[in-house]
Amino acid sequence: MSTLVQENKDLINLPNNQEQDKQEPEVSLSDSAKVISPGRLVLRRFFRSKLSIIGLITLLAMFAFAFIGPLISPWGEVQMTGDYKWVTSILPHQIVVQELNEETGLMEEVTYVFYEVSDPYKVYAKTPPSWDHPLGTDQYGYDVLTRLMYGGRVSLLLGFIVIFSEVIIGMFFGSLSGYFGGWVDQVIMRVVDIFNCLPGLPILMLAAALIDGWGIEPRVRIYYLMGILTFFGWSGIARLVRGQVLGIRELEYMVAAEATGLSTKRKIFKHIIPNVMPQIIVQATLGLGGIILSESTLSYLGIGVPFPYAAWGTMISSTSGAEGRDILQNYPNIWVPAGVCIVMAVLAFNFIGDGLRDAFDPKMRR
Amino acid sequence: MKLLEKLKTNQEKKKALAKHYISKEQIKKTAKENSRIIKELEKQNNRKNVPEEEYLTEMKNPNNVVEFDDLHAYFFTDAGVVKAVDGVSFDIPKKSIVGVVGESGCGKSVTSLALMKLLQSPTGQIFSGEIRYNAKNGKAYNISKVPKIDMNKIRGKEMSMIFQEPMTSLNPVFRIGDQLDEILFLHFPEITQEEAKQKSISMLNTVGIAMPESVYSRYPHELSGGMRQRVMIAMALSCDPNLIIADEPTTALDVTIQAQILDLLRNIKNDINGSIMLITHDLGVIAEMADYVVVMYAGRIIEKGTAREIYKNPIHPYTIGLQKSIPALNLNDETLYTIPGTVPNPINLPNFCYFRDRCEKRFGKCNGEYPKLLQVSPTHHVACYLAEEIAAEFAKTKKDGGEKNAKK
Amino acid sequence: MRLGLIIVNMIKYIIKRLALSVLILFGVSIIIYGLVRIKPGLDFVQAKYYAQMQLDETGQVAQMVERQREIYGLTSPIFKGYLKWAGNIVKGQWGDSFIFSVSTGEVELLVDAEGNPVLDAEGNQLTKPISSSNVLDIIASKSTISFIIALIATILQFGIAIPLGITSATKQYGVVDYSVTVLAMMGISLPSFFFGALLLRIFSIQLGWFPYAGLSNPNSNLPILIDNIHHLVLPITVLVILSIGGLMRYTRTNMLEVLNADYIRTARAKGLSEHKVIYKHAFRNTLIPLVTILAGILPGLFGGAMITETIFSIDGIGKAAYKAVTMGDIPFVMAYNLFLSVLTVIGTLMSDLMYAVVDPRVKLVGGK
Repeated sequence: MSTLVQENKDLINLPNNQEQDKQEPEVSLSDSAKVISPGRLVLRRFFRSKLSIIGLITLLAMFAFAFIGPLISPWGEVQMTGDYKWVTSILPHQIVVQELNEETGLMEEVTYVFYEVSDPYKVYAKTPPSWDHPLGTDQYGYDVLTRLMYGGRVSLLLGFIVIFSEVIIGMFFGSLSGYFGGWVDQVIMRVVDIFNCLPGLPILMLAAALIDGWGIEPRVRIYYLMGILTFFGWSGIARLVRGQVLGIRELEYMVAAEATGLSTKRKIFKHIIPNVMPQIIVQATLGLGGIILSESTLSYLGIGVPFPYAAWGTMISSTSGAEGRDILQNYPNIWVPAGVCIVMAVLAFNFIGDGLRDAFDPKMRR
Repeated sequence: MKLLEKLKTNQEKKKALAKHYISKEQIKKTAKENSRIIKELEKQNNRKNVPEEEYLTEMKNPNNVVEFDDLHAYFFTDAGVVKAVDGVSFDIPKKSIVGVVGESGCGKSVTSLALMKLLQSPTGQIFSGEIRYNAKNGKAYNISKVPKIDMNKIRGKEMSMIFQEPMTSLNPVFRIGDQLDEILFLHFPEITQEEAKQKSISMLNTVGIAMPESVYSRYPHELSGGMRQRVMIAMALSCDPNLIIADEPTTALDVTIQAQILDLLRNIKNDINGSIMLITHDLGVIAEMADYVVVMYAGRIIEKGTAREIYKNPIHPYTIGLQKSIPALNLNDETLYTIPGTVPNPINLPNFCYFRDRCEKRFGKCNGEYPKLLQVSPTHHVACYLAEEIAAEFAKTKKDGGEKNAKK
Repeated sequence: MRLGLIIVNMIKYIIKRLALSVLILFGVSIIIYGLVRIKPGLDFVQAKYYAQMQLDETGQVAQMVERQREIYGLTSPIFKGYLKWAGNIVKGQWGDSFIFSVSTGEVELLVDAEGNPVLDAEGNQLTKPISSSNVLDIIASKSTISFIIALIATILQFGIAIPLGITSATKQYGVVDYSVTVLAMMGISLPSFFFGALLLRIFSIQLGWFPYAGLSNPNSNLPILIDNIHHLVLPITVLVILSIGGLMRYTRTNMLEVLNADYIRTARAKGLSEHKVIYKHAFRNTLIPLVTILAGILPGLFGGAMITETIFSIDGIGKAAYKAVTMGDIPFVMAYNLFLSVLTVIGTLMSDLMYAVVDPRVKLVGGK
């Protein structure tokens, strides 16, 4: 075989063409095939789904509504609007009398109902939608639209603060556990197991109800609420981070980093954290929706954001119980918008989180 | 000050990088164009109740099982159209082993998947060209036109495939026996449970599995990689197909097992009535096994011929390079030869020899357009400017021969 | 021989898992007890009976309070108290609810002051039903109805979510996929209290199709079972819609993953129809995680749905827990939380065992 090759070489006298190439700055093959930049690839995959775009727009609108809205609104969060409607109450009275039936000629019992109609009087709450109050006023006489805005502030801010704290705590314990392994991992993971085994809402309710009994002033109680939500929520992120870190540790480049003798700190912050970040961002976005749901549920139950502060959950709770029947039935303007707001906010976070997951996950690439 | 400099260099870096990246508008445009083409092709593929006449064709040579004729198989991605197979033509004669060689990513597997119509849809599509298939019933089908639903009659029964990854190619939740019987029930609906079992066990026996009865009732995860590949071969054989496609059947296996599996393939070729299309990146395997060899590079054929021609008289520098990179024990040379560089990404390739930048023997002409496939012997074709003289010589002798013949 | 080994391994595995479960429950109980104990000032028993103790002159209430505090270890410092309480939990003394009591079904013979049986006019001895405030009795009596409702909802949930998830995966990025995704997301994002209220407002109050609350209507002339079903339509709708989304998404993701597997390509190469490929080869593999999930959530069904049961006034354990929280019935809430944790632990155990049953690749070996 080699002789044949040799023959071929002799047959065709090859000139050295290195020089020639330099003179001709033609596109080389490696340049000819352009690729999509990684960042653009993520963006592209994110925006491929219309749902992500809807989510993003909704979220921006919610933020504008919650943070800019109150500046424009003429009403305050706890400002009695002084608006009233004229109401006449109608009181039925029944009277049973003995009367002569002219056909039969017998005395019969006949029931008469009288309605006692009062003079119109002013009622300072539950006014119907009007120009001044596009969504009317609630049972306390507060402007519903303004309360919605403030409720959004609380929900969004609380959501972000809680998820941020959860991520910090979860990342700390997760990377510790995944990186060091051994007994550190064992201890942390068993604790995470315990937290995962706690029932979600009931334990939040127990904690919130207990703190309710402490008699803390409403302003401070929001912070306690954040603390509770964080305390019972960090374990999911810790588990995720641990799994990711374990996976990354097995990868070749990490083995290489190990071999070059990088410091632990550098390895964690330079190599591991940036690589788990996409997963954490996805988890955090999806988690935000969950936190808003938890917060509004607690508020609905009356142990979340305390009155007089506005919260979407509280606004819906006006429908519960016997006294809420009236609002449930006759004043959808008080509670339906709040529910719509919750759904929209949670939906937006879910859409964005889902879009991000598809965008970051190369397996889903089409 | 330093910060400013750093910023500047960063920006320069970004600019330099930008050259390699596609602009946003470009991506949008390609995506739009792609979805249009894909839709059209998928519509063709998904038709139902297509009369057979529409995809019947004539074999150029009735002694061939498969004829690839100017096959183009593309992947429509956002980065552009990946021309994974770009104008490939070769034949698989009856009762022969045809080897397809090349580095990873040069279109070997895509060619075989196109033949089976198993390209990852919707992005992967046969764009144009014919694949003529000579069926058992004497009819010839143009595979590229066969709709998905009718392909099911051909797959498994007429041609079958052995994949690269025996560890993951068997369904983990079904027993070996069930998976073997399934293909029999599918293509021979009249077969009974007992007969199917008998046949499956005998197939397992054929592929050299000791205790086939026991393996029959096991799950895939209980078998070793080599055993699983034998099961895959048994499955491929069980309907007595015209053609078996073996897509790198030994790559994922231990070296000792590799030899056994290749032996097995060689043996069954003698037993069965069909051909084997053997895909590999190892020219050594080809030399041992194949009758004909096709060498592919970046989606195109750069050399094809009989195994002897390719092995004894390779002309294309790529083939020579591949051959030199086979480890051999008797060579004194300590370092193993490697071809510098990698296979280019087959998107928007310019019109010159794709191997030019890696080629040791390039010369002035190589900057010209992509070389044509030149005939250098009745069976040997090369796409390289180096072969021009030999080709011209051959053309002359052929012409002379022709004239001589004519004179006689 | 081989079977014997498998059984031995299985038993070893279960014992190991049980030990781990005990450890987890130990941790859970510490957290619950800790929550109750960090309250400054009066503990929850004293707080509850504070007013009564002020009026109490005979000291009876004080005695009772001391007995209760003893059960929860409130008389001792936190660490010792925990041990006392945990000991009582293990012994089955979970404490008495402040607000609930149920009939135990047993009766007590009435006797007068001298110990003679009290007879009615016909000479039969009078009896009095015995009621119990023991939280375990209350949980037992209330969780049945919750379980039935949750079971029906779960069956519906799986029956709807799995086919939809599969269709969504096989027609990825199609119209079905998008609608399923949007619907699933809506389900995940809806708060149960809002959705429940909305359904009540529309279907019960406005249209009058379904009853407003409860399980049955004494004035209804429908057969009792039909009447019950009529009452359960709305609550079950809420439960199904809210939980279906997650399962649908999960099925879809799993199916997509399976459809990319090599063995699916093998199945196609055999010449199997797309239908067979999806519903036989792919589906069997997707089923593995789904069955595991089902096994995992089954015990949890006894736990009830707090908000939904409350909104629709269904007298299950969820409503009881809600009432307990709002009325400060700490003993019940503690027990409820512990009960739910036990259910979760059992669920995890069951799902792990189920995994070994349905996936032939998994063998129960001591380690994992």
